[in-house]
Amino acid sequence: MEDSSHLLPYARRSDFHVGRATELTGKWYLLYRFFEILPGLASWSTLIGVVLMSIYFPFIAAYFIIAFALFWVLKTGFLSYHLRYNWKRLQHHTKLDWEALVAEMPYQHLHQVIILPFYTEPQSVIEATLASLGNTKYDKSKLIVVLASEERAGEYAQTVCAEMTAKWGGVFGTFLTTTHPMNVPGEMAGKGSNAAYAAEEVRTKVLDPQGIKYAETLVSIFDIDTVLYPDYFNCLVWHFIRAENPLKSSFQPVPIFNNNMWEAPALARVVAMSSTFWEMVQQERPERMATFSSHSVSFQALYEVGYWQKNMVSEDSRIYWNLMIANDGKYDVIPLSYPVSMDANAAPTLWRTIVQIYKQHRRWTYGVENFCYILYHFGINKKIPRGVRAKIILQQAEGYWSLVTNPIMLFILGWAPIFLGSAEFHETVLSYNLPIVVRDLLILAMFGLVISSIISLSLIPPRPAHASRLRYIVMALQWFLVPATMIVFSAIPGLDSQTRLMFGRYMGFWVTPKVKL
Amino acid sequence: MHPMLKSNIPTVQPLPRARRRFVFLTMLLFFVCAVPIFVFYATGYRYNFNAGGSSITTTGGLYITVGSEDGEVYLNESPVRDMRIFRSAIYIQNIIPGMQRVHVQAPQLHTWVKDLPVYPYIVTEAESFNLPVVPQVRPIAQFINASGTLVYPGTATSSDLFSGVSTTVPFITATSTGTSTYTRNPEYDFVVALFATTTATTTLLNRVVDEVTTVLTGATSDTPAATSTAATTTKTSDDLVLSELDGEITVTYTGQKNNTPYYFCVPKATLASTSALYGNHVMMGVAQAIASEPVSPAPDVVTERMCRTSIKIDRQWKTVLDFDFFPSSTDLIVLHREDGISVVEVDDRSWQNTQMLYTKPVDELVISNGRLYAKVGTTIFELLSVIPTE
Repeated sequence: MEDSSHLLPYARRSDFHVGRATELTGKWYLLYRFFEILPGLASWSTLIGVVLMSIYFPFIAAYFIIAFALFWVLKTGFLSYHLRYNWKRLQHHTKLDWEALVAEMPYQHLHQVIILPFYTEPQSVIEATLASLGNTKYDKSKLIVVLASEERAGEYAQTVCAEMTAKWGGVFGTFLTTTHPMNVPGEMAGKGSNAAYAAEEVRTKVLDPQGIKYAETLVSIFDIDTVLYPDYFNCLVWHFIRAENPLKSSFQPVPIFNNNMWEAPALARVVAMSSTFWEMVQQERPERMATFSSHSVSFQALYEVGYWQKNMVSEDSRIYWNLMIANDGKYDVIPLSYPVSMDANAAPTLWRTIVQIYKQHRRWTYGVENFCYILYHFGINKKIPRGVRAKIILQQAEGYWSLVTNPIMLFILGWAPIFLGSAEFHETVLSYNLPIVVRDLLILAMFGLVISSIISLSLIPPRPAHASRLRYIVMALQWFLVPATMIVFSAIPGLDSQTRLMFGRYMGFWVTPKVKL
Repeated sequence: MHPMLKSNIPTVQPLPRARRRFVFLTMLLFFVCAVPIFVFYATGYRYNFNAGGSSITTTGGLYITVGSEDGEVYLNESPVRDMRIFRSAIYIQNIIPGMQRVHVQAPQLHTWVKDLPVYPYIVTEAESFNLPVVPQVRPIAQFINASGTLVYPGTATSSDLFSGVSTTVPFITATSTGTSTYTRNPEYDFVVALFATTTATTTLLNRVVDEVTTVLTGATSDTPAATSTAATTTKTSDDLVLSELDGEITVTYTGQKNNTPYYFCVPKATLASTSALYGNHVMMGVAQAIASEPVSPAPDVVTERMCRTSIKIDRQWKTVLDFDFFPSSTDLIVLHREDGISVVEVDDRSWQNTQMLYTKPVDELVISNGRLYAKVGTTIFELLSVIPTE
């Protein structure tokens, strides 16, 4: 029997790490299954409802669409306002001398564990990440670097581990390689199970033997293509020490998917930068944040909930919900507004790029499985204030619903009453004005893209010699692809994942191929 | 927070929650106020600043399909700023309800004119057409010379062939009747075969001759018999049936009521107002439709429109020898009249525009694959509805 005494009381529940309905029985199974059906049902009902309304009540549908287009304009403005503000903050934070700022703080007792899970990614990608770690302005003796490989990756992973150890072993305080065994019952092959295994290895092989306190250890989990900016750990420490409840907080940098920005096609650039922008917006409204992709958290907090979940896809955000629920709602995400660079999802061919982006976004949007988890545990853990629970549920529900329905309603179904409405509707001024009004409102909303365009140009790496200056113009104009990317890489994969969850066709972890273009 | 860190660190603070809330509430207020304004605007309401003080007025619209790319639209003699939704259609909004006169004109083309009523919140549709003032033909000669040019042997001048018309296809005439140096034009043979097929059925004129012969002699003429009256005098396109009865040509709609083409319908109103707006002929059609409705006096309950099922085509008191739908159109009818070839719109609101496609009598007319071929004596040509670009 596994010792669970270190876990928070709520985290000791057998269903605390529930990943899907099939792991439960009886009424709890039915309840969780209902929660799994709910998001897809809501999205499909909305989309079908708009179609039916266009056929049977075209006037009401037209009024709704006009109101919705106006809502979209204002939402775009509202988000752009947050984005612009975070851009300023990001720029400011990037220029700050964090080393000097933390110098006046008592931070020498803190240790940094860096977990780098990888599968079959090229060695050059891993090298770049380790090189950036080596370039950080932080006492390297305090860095415990864990290169977390998978047994199922075979000989290749072991070779990489050996070569990286030989090269980087002496650079950091500790350089540990771990091999997550394959086919462990109850685990899903993926980043979560690998990272959890690595964390436990660090505890037993490094922290405990060296007497390093969990509360004085910060764990940063980075995707293997993450390139750190020099002051990342100083910025993290500064926020950790200043945090009201540092052990009850996760720390979220801004993932900028720009490592390969000059090599990736326009489509990949737009999608990647859109994801960055979304995280930038979220940085200015931390009460809506969950951890995403690369993030940092104290070892103590992780240990109290049993590390990352091993049986589901979106472990990066699930760990926040684990921590939040186990701590009875008293847990925060602190935005660092400091960048980490990652690769835009791109493949050698355009078609492969499209397929990869789709699959990656389907995996990301499969984060809707967290909504079921939240609903389930919010119903059980009554220690979380009711208002907090209600607010989070509404925010999350709106988020998953709008992700799927809004682009389709705006860019496709906005025209439905014109094509599906009755002859009576077709004769009206409303029928003729509907596309004009919606078009004009969407053009107005497109001005938000101008801000996006300007900001994106400021976030790209310096132009390499082989790239033409004309690429700047292409990079500015590429934002006109947004309506299409919103549908193809946001709404449709979102609907795909919600539908899979609705029908119990659970997804596995799909590893995004990382290649040097 | 560590006690020694309360100093003012030079960092940009996160967006204050109070400011976010203020921006949100301002936008929410704007949304609540703007939605009704946008909805009323889209429905046709306008705020009128000029009518001796401000007032809210209701407006309607016109949707005119413009056949010609160069067509310019005039509303009550004033040019309409180009607001084309598509390449071939123009939507005019903000029109005060009432009768409006619309012109569509283009250089060298017939002008299309129509009086159309505009109702509040409603868009009145119409489809204009503009045929060349000077008939455009494409000669199809029997022979071609070595350089591929059409040749008319035994013809003195070109004016003998195509006077009063325009063509951009080069051809030559030759006084000699010899044809040995020429090759036969396969298109000519093809079109001749088309005419042969058509005359094997019958034209209206043939049928009139048949009937007169039958009455006078009690015997049928030598002209090949028509396959059937219905077959020779009825043309169908989608749900529209074009037929002839007692010399009058009528278009009848046979499809579902809620898909009735706009020109069969008028907005629900009294018969008197229908007569005033569209003319007696429309009012009579509507009254007939109402009278024949078995259950409800409203002819089209679904759409709040009053729809007829048939419209008579204006033949301008000329004898019609043959008729058909204009190629790729269910709104236009081609009439082979005793005085030439005309095209008439089905839409009879106010009046039906008629434009001559060919202004001289032709012996035969056949429509095949969207092309109109005419025959005068032994001369065959294609009639063009647009002016060919050089």
